[in-house]
Amino acid sequence: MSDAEPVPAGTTAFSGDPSASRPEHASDGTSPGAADVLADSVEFDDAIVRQFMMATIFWGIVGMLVGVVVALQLANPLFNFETSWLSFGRLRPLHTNAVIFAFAGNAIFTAVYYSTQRLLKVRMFNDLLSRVHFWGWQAIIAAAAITLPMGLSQSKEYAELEWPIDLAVVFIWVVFAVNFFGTLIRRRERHIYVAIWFYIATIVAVAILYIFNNLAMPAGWDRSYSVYAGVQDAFMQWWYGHNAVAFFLTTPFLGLMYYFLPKAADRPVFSYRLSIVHFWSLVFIYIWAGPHHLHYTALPEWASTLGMLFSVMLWMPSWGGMLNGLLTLRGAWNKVATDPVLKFFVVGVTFYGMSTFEGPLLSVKSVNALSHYTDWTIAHVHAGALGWVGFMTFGMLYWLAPRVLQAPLWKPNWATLHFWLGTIGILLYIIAIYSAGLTQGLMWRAFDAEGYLQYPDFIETVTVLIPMYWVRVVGGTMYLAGAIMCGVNLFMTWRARPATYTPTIIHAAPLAGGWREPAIPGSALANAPVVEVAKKLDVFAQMRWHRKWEGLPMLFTIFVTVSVTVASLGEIVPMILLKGDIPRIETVKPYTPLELAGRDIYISEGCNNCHSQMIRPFRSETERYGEYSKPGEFVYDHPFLWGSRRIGPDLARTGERIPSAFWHLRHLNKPTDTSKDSIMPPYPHLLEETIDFDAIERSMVAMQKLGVPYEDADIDGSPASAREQAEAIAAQIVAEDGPKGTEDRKVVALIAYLLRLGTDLNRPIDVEVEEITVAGADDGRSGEEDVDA
Amino acid sequence: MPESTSVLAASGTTGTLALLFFLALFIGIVLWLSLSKSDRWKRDADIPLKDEPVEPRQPESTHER
Repeated sequence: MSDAEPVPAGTTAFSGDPSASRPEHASDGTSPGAADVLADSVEFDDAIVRQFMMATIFWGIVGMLVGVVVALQLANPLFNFETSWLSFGRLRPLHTNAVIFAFAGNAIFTAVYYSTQRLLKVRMFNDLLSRVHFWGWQAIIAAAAITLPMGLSQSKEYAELEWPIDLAVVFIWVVFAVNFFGTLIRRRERHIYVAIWFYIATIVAVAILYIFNNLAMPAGWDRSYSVYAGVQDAFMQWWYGHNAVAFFLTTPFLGLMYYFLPKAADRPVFSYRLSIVHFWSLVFIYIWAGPHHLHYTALPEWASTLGMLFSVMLWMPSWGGMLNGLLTLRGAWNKVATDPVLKFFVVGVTFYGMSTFEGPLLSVKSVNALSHYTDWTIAHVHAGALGWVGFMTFGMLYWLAPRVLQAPLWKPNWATLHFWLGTIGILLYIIAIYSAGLTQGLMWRAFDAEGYLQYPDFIETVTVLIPMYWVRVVGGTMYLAGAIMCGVNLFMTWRARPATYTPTIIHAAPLAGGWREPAIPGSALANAPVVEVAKKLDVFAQMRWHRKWEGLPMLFTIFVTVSVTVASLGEIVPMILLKGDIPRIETVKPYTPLELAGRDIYISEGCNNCHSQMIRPFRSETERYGEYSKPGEFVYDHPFLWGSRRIGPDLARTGERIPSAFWHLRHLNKPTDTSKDSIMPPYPHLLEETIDFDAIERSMVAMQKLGVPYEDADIDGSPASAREQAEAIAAQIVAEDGPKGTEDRKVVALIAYLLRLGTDLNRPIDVEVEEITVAGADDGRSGEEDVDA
Repeated sequence: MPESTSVLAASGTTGTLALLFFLALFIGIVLWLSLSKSDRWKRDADIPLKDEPVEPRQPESTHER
């Protein structure tokens, strides 16, 4: 229906008094002549809200189900079913992507499409764009659900999707942005409410983050390599990774909170001024915090410290938001006892407060030294995801269902039961995993009275966690059961929908042209005996200047963009330009063709989901894994593979520590053959599938374009070179009493890569890596000059 | 005083001053948020409550019929 059509008979018209919904507040005196503009009818597009709402719960159940499966796999590796596409390394990215982009993503769009139309008093800009957005996003999710189990991955966390899907994500995000900003331009409410500010920040920041972190060089339709290498890639990844949490899992849900919580409580937000402080603080500060994910790694100290500083600064504005949410319920706490929607919101906001206290805590270096790579981080993430994102979403869904489906919720008491199942499920989950994280961290660093590692065998630190992993399975299953109840409840409510939905129509006049924010009145202290600066401060504190921004959304968007960009460049530019941060090491050479193929298999199997390749400069780590990692060791790593957790041991120097090819073959075929009680999935398919030697050339060409010093002759001869090295490793396996006939199997390529890991640092400077001649690698510096150990 | 110690002492003073500055800023923001009153803030905060009735509608006829 056109915005300008009169109200048809039989429809429900809210705000039936046209003057009741004038686009400007008359009391402001801001819109002379506005009352003269005839308000006409606006019909909201709630069909798109219904679509996103049902997609939210559907993908939520799928993502959480995969989460329970991967939790089971950690409790007992039998649940990997010896099937490549069901192994932990491939399913874990599916779980994270499904929960973040499918569940949370669809929830964001549900909230945006519902609240934006109402807050701006106008239908979405273009119905076709809305549909393209919906179906395009679902197609992307389906593509991810197919390709990730196939092992098609870029390896970077929450950015695993391969480049064709990345392009689709960017396209659909642009569609969404055009639709949203088009709506904003055509709005019939002058003032843009705080929820809209958070949506603007989400759209702008996610676009910037996603594009720049995912820049990659394709090597075929199914493979690509990050344009950044090593330290810089790690930095870009966690600039993205942390801000994916900030701008995909925080700001849009704060927008959701600022809209749906007042609606559910029937109370205005506690403090609008606090929301202004909250918003700008988050938008500017959050973006700097990413490097706290890389404390004590090969990241430069300055970046790490900067990340910690800004993370700690995030605490207060975050809690400002939490308090703003909880205090919105002032005078309405009695409703919480009976209303499941408010129950979900209260616990959701509480978990926001808890997570945003814990985040700064974990960013402090001394705390991070204990928590990093452990399950503590996993517990923190799930407190935020299950508690904040999940519960805010469920609260919104239960509030929306009767409104957009226009039927009473099928089983209101199921919503309450869902709340309790979910709450107890979260508590079981996080308590178990906090315990597991602390246990890991303390066992890894424990020394006995003689000064030796108390638990030198890594597997000791794994088996002790199994009971906690089972408790996590129980907690996760309870949470999933609640989500399924929600799904059934929504489905049955949908079945009871009216034969024809009653359109939601309001009256609102187009915005009057030539609007100007009224002049800022003078200070109330004008005649008071105070210094002039106090009077100016008083005028400033009235924040009329901000109100002006709130009526100029494009200007507001520019300020948000500048804020996010300046903060990003403040870290990115020095990281890219300061060559001294990444001293070259003469003995570090590019991977051989076979090693490169093995690295692709490592990425494809998702080994980095369980194994780090980054030894921190702690005695407990150097005793266990060897010399600590240097920035210069990763200059040819496109992408970096430092990992973020250690379900298994670090592999940075596995080539030095375990030089036996046959050991690796046995371990990959059946991990318990070499490590009793290992929970690693078996990879027998790697002994059956053959290496595509001819495909290696494409990878080398891509690497060459990225600046890895391969010569054309190296690339032309790569299949033969790879076969030669494979035959040598196969011969080594036979010499170590292993099986014959492995020279063309994928396992040999992976072994070649594993045997190479960490060996460059101590290699004599005149020894070439296999037969690869590295052009331009000889810059005349010795191997020692850059190694500060 | 050794150079390294004097540097530490200087950074300690700077740190204390910075801490006091941010503490004062924080308290100032809290006071501003708590004490300042204006109808404008209330009007803006009320926006979501005015867009449509809070109570959901009931269907007169269902799809199943």
